[in-house]
Amino acid sequence: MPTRPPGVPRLLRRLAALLVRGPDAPCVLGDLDEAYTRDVRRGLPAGRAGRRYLRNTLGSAASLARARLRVPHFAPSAVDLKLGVRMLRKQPALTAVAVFALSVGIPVGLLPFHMGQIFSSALPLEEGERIVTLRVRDLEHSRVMPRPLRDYHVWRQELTSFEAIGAAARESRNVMAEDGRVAPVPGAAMTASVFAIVRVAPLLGRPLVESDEVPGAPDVVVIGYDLWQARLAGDPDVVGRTIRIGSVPHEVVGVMPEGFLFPSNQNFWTALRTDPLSVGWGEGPWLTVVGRLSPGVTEAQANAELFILGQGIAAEHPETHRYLRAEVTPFTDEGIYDTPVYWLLQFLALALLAVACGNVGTLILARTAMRSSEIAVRTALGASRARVVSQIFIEALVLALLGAGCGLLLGDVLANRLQVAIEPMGIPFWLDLGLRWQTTVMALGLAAFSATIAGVIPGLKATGRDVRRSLQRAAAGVSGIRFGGVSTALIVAEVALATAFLSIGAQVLPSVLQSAEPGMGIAAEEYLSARVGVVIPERVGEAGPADTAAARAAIAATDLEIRRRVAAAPGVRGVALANSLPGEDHRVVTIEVEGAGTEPRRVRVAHVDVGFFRGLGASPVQGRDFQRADVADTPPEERRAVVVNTSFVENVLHGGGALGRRIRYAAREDEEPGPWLEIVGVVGHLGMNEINPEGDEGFYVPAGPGELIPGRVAIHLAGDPLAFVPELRRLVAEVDPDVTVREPRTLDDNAKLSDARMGTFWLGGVLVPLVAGVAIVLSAAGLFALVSFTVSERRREIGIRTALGARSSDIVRTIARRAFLQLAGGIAAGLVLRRLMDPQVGLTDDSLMHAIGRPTLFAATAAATLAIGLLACVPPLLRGLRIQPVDVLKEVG
Amino acid sequence: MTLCRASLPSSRSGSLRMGTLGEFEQLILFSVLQLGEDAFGVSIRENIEERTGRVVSSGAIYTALGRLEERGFVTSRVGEPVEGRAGRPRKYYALRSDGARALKESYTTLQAMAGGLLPKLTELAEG
Repeated sequence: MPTRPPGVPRLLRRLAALLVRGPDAPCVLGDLDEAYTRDVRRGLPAGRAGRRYLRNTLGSAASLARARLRVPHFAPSAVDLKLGVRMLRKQPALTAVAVFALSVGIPVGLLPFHMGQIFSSALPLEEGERIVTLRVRDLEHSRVMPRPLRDYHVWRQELTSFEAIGAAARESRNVMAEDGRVAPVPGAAMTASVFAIVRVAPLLGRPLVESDEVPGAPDVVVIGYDLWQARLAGDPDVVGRTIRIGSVPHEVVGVMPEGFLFPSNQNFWTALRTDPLSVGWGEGPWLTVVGRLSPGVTEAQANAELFILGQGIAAEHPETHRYLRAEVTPFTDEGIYDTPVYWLLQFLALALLAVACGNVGTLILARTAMRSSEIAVRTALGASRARVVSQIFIEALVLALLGAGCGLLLGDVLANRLQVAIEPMGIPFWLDLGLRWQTTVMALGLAAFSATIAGVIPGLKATGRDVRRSLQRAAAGVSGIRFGGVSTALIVAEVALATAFLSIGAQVLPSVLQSAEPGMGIAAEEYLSARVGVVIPERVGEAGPADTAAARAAIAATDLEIRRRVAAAPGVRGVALANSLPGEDHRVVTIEVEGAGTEPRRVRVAHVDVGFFRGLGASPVQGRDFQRADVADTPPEERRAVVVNTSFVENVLHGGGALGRRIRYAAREDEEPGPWLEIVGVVGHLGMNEINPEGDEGFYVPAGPGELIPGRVAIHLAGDPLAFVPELRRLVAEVDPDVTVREPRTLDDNAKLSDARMGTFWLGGVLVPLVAGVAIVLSAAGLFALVSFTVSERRREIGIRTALGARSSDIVRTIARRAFLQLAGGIAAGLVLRRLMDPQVGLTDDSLMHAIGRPTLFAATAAATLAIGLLACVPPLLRGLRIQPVDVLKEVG
Repeated sequence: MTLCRASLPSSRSGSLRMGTLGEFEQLILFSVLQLGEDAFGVSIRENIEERTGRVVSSGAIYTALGRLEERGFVTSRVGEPVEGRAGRPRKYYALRSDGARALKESYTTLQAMAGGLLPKLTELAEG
């Protein structure tokens, strides 16, 4: 960990790291720190040393950027800069609105771009940009085919574009060292060639070698630094010691250096032993295939070679490979560009950014219009047009850069927070959410672009007439600048965005508030929840029973024994297994109810073990619980008993008697409907819909022994649930060392940390209100600017009309007519936009469409936007109404 | 501003006469010469500031040194990390014989042109 020099303010250091880029950046940043330290040691006050640090940073960033981009020296005059800064202070409201708009608009607008940068960056390894993934894409189902063992075998023999190709099968497995603890650790079965691809030498011992891959060779393991430190006390003589991975003892042959977690967050590596010819195409372990491009070969060339080879395989094996396409992608590419959601987000984000930038332009145009007399006088005194335009441009640039700077800092702070928050979840080692220089350059470029649009165009407009006419207009108090179609379109767009996002916000907010407190109908804090997984030998390339009746029977026996031992442990009050636990987002299915027409209903479903309700202490309120007879000797497709919840009875059966009624899964057009299932019991509310706890109508299907591994377990305990975790892992490993217990937490925390709830929080609680807030502020500012501008332009007309006896209502109509029209147009467009966005944001899902009816919601949103828009018009309107005819006539006279 | 303009063509063409040095480059080379073994970004910057009163940025020094290195006038080496730099290394520079020749040529050219003109220059500047 590098030492921080005394006293360099963190904000300044962060700014320097953000701005100083290029190959010499580390030395320059070091110099900046050292110069600061020397200044302080020489007795310079901290404030002055900080200012020198800042000046040095800005100068260095400019020099390095100029050298990198090879642009000639450009420096605006100091007077222009001073004027720009003075304008910021002179008009604090405009500055605040513009900076707010850009400092929110830029991070939100650049988010998809930044995500793209993250997922296309080079691996932080030697020549990491040359490490790529080779994968087979299933075009028919739009997904990656996970079992490319046979393809890998052919690739390894035939491809010439790669220095080396290797494969890894990832799996979390129980590691048992001499400390006696049992804990699952992410690891991988990997070919020795991967160590050559990553070019990272072990800290101790050796990496895996090819002879380790031979069937029958001794079982060896290379361990990661963290595992070595945490479980083997950093023993320097660890090489040669034995640890147990799952049920098999492995000899430690090497330790990798700190930070090495390839391919994602792995901490041990065993040899991948596969016999490709013993499995069919599309079978075998789940593999990640990686390669290092040969020197001089580009990714496109490698892709072309792989594509042609893939075509050959498809021609030979059309039964499995007709719709498969092999491709080379950067290792960090997680396929985000392949999702329509990414492009939709990109579009929305850029639209918001364009509106934010455009709005700042409108505000500056209004400001320039107000200053047209000053500009006319300056022109008359000899200032060239270029001089005046450049001054307005610099003023806009100062404003835009301030906004962009705030935006980047805000984005950086949020990214760092998020990184810290998600790191414990086991994210890939290369995932760095921090700002990239590309994002910084893009933000600064956007600031410069918006300054060009916002500064140069009004500047040209303001200086486009001859001096005499400009002076005449200035004397008459008229600018000659018009708020044209672009400004109108911008204001309408902002009002539309404000209306749409307010509407979504109003709709999502109740869910956010409700989902903050998961309602499960049980004392969730007394339960321990965890994922129970089992290593399937085939998935990690090991010999073992595949998905056969014998294997299923073995898992069933393991399941029963684990449950027996856990239930008998001291302090355990109940054990419940399911594919989804209370408080989690349960799967949504479509069903039909017998005798209630063919209209399908969307409800929730959970597969649970026979003792599930007893384990949770939730006895049926009507009918009976599941019994062993419901599942014994019956394959899943022939089971008929289901239990529904009280919400199901109220919302689907409309309060009628439930017992004995029948439901079935709705069939698609080309399918036969499934068998009827009989309702045998009704249970209370157990939290099947985490977003909308009230709308959790659903049913439970019984599952037999072994069918819920992998699955979820909830254990009711007398004491602190988390204190039971080591004991639970020990009990489970005693039965089967290959069964893992992961993500242990209380059931309460489990529900609060679920993906859907977090997603709702970020979308509904943060993003939507943020966008709505920006749009509202922008539209209010735009309307304010428009009405202010109109009042200034028509001051004389208003004065004369008042003198001639015009009523206040006529004056208001004159001033605000256009603003009102734009407001009304924007609200109408917003409601249409809101309607169009329905399928995209998933708000038609019954989980989120509740609490407030659609017509009321639309009316309320429109009213709120209208009220805010009208409020923004009030101050300039009052100014217009206060114009005294006497003053105006004096000016004319 | 003039300094940078004067020195830019050298980085673009790379084929200018060996002795063509901008004023800023001359200052840097004199500084490297004077500092000897201890010539790195911070010390060069301080040296120029002390002797000329001009405040230059670290980035500008590295940019100019990069150009001078491309032209074979200086060599560089990265040192060990030292305290007070957050683990970042210093980059030390040393004058090469080509650089020394170019600096000498620039200096003698300037001297030859300026010879005997200082009183007149002072008179004009003050008058």
